[in-house]
Amino acid sequence: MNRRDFIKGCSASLALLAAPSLNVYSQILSDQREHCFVFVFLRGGCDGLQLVAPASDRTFQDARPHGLKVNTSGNSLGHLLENGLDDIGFYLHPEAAGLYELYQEGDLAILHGCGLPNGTRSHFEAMALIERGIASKEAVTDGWMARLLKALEPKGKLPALATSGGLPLSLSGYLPTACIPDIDSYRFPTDHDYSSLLRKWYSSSSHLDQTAQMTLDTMETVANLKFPLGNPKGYPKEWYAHDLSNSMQTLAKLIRSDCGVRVATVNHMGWDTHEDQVSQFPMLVRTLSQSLTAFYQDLAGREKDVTVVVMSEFGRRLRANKSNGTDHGHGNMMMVLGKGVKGGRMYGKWPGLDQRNLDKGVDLAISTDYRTVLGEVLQERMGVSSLATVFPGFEMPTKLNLFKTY
Amino acid sequence: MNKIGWARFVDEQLNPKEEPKELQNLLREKTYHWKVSYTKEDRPPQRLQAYFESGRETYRRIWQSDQNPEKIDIRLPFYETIIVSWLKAVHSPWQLREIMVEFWHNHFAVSGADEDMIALTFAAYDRDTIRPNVFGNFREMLEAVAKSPAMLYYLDNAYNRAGPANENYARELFELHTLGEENYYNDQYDKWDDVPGAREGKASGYIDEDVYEAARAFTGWTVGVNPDWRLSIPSTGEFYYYDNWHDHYQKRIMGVQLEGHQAPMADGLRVLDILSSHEGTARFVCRKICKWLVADKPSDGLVDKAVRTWLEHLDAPDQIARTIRTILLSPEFVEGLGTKIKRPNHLILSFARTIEAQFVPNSGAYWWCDAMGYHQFSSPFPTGNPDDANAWINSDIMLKRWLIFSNLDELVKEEGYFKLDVALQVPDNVQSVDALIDLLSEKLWNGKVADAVRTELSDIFSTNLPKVSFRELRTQFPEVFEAKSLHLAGMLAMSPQFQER
Repeated sequence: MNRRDFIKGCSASLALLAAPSLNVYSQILSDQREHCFVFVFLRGGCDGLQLVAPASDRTFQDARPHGLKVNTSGNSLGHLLENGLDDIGFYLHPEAAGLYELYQEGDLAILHGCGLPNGTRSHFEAMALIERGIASKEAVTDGWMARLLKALEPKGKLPALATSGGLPLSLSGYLPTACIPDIDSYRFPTDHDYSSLLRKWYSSSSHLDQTAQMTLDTMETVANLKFPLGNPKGYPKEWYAHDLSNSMQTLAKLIRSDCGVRVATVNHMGWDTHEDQVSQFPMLVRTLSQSLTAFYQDLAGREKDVTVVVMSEFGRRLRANKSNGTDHGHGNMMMVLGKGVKGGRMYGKWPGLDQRNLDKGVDLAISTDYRTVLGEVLQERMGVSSLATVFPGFEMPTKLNLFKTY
Repeated sequence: MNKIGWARFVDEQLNPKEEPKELQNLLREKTYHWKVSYTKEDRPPQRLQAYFESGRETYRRIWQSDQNPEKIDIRLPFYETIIVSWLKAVHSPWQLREIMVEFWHNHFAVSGADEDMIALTFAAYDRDTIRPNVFGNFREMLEAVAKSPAMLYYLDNAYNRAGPANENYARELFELHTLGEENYYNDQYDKWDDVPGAREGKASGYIDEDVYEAARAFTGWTVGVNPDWRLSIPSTGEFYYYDNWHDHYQKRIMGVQLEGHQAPMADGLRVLDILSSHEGTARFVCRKICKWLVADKPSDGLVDKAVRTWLEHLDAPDQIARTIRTILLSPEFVEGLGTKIKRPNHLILSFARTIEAQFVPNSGAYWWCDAMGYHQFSSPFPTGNPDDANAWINSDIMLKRWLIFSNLDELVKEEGYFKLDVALQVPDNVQSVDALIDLLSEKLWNGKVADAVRTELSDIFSTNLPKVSFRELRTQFPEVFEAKSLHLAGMLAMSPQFQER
C-alpha cells in the first residue's frame, strides 16, 4: 500500500469516531501520534500455565507436581484474578505481586490461549516467525516493527529503541534503530570526541558506514537529551534481575526525555525451564513483575502514552517431564499494560485442558492469534488502520475490546 | 600465494604437528593440566572434583560445593580453557585448527558461564571432546559430544529419565547440531508417514515426534555422579549410562523402527547413526562451514562440492579435514572470498598480530570480547555466537568496538597482559606524523587513509604535545611518543577498513 492510501485509511477511520468536542478529538489524535509501544519478549518459552495458572481446574492440579503449579490455598497460593475466563479460578503466580496490583488497579489485562498458530516447537523458528509478523515460512525478511515504523513515519529523534543490546529481528529493516542498553555508557568516555574523525572515515553508502553514521547520530542525540525526574523505586537489584531491570530503567528514562520513542523492544531471557523449574521459575517471575511494575511507576505521568505487551514464543507442556521441568508447548498467556487498557479482567477464549481440547493431545491450544492482540494495540493506540503491510496475510477477527474508548 | 603453495599450505594446516616450544612453555607456565575425576568417597552425595597436575605443584582439588577447602574458584577450568584458546590463537602456527575449534565450539555450543558444573567440566570439553575431533569424523564427534559431561549438563540430558523424557538435548541435536531448522517439518508434528521418504525408512526431514522419540532414546545417558544414596550410579565423573533410567520400549525415528529392549545405549547410538549419515545434515553443516571460512552467503556450487566430499567420506577418520580441503582448494573459495566483518575476538587478535604486540592473555581477554558482544564459550543461546554481519553491525556493537580501541592506552596500562612497544617497531626513517600514520595503516590493513581522515588523525596526535620536532619527540620524550603512537594505532583500528576481514 502506498502512503496516500494509508493516510486515506487513517482519516477514514478517524472520521468514524464520535467527536463530542474538539478538545477530546485532538487528544485522541495527539495520543495516537505520540503513543509508544513497548514489546517485552520473554525468551525461551514462558510457562504460562504456572504464571497465570488455572489453579481451580482439576486436570491442571493432577497434571503438575508440587512446585510446578499454583494452588488455591496453602502452599504456593497464588493471587486470584477476578473477572477470569469461564468459571475457572485463574491465579497469578505468588511472586507476581506487583503485576497483581496493576491488575487490581485496572491497568493490566491478561489473555490466555494465545500465540503463533503455526505449530512449531522450535524456539528459533517461533521467534523468527513472531518477529517477522507472520505465521508460516514466507518470503518476508524484515521485522514487523520495521514495517510499522515505516508506515508511521515518525518525527521524533529516537523513534525505534532496543534496550537489551543488539538489533532484534523485529526491527530489522529499519535503519534508524537505536540499540542502547545503557545511557551512561553510550558515549566516548575520554576527553576526545571521535565523532568528527569517524564521520569522515565512514562516509560511503555501504551498510557498515551507514550504521556507523547512525550510531554517531544517536550518540549525539542521547548526549543532548534532558531527563525529567522519574520515580525509580522498586527495580529489582538481584544479580539475576540485572539485565531486565537495567533495560527497563533505561527505557523509562528515554521515554521521559520525550525524544519521540514510538516502538521499543526489551528481552527477558531464561524462560526455557526444561529442568528444575521449581528453583528457576520463581526468580524469573519476580524479576519480571518487579521490573515491569517499577518501569510503569517510573514513567511518572506518561503511563497514558505507553502500552506494553508481554509475550513469549510459546507456552510449555501441561505435564511435567521427569527432570522436574516442562518441555515446549503451544498456547500461552499474553499481557497488555497501560492507562488506556480496560484492565482488571482476562480476555480470550479458554481452550480448556480436557484431553480432546489439547493441541496434539498434550499442549494448551491457541484460540487467539498473537497478531489479534498486537493488531488491536496498533489500531487503537498507534493510529494504524490497515494492518495489511504490518502483518501481511493476516485477517483481523472480531476485536477483543482491550481498550477504553474516549 | 600460488596454487601449489596454497595447496601445500592447506595440507600442512590440516595436519598440525606439535606446538612450538615457546608456546608449550607458555601453556605450562600460564595454565594447568586439568583432569576431571571423581572423589573416592563412599557415600553420596558425592562430589565431582577436578584434579590438576602441573609442573609446579602436585594435586589440588576443587569441588562442586562451597566447602571448598582450598578456596579455589570452581570456575578455574573454564577460565583456563579461555586462556588456552587465546594463547594458541596468538602464538600457534596451526591457525586453521584454532579457527575450526572455534567453529565447533559455536556449533556444539555449551555455555561455561551458566552453572558451576558446566564450568568445572569445560576444560575437558575443549581438550577431550572438541579438539581431538576437530578435523576428524563427524559421527565420532557427535558421539563424543553426546557423552561429554559439559553437554550432558548444559542441555539437561544428564537428568533425562523415562517418564516422560526431557527433550532439551534431543531437540537441539536435531535442530542445531545435525539436520537444522531447514529440515524441520513442523506442520506434520506426529504424522510421520507424511514426511517424504519416511515410509521407506528414509525420511527427508524431521518432525516433533522424532524429537520426542529421540529424547526417549537418550534416557539414562548421564554423568557418573550419584545424587541419591538409593541409586547405584558409580563415581566416575565421566559419562555413565544408567540403565534404570532408560526407556526401553520401541521407538520410531524418522521412519526407522527401533525395536524395544535393545542393548545398552543402542537406541541413542542408532539416532546418531541416522542423523550423521543424512544428506540434510551434510548440507546444513557444510553450509555453516562455508559461511565460517568464506563469506556470509556462500555459493551453492561451493556448498554442493563440500557436501559431496562429506558424504563420500562418511566413515573416514579425516572426513572433516577432507571437506575443509575441498572448500579451501576450490575455485569458488577464491572467487567467493567476500568481506566478512571480523568478530570481536578476531578484531583483537588481528590487531595484536599486525601491530606485533606482546600478547600474553589472561582471562581478561574474555571480558574485552564480552564488552563487544562476543560471549566466548558462553553464548546465551545454544546456537552459539552468530556468524553473520548483522549481528556485528548495529548501533550498540559499533560503539562498543570503537570504545575498546579508542581506550587502548588505558587498557594496556590496566590489564598488563597486552604489551605494545610501538616505538620499537618504528624505523628511523619515519620522520613525521604522516609517515607514522602510513606505517601503521600499512601494518593494520595494507592500505592508506584518505586525506580528510589523515588531517584529523594528525590533529589528534598533536594535541597536548611538547613543542618540539617529531625527531626530538622520539628521542627526548620516548614515553610520550610511545603513548601517542599507541593511541594512534588504536584509532586506526576503529577504521572501516579494519572492521572487515
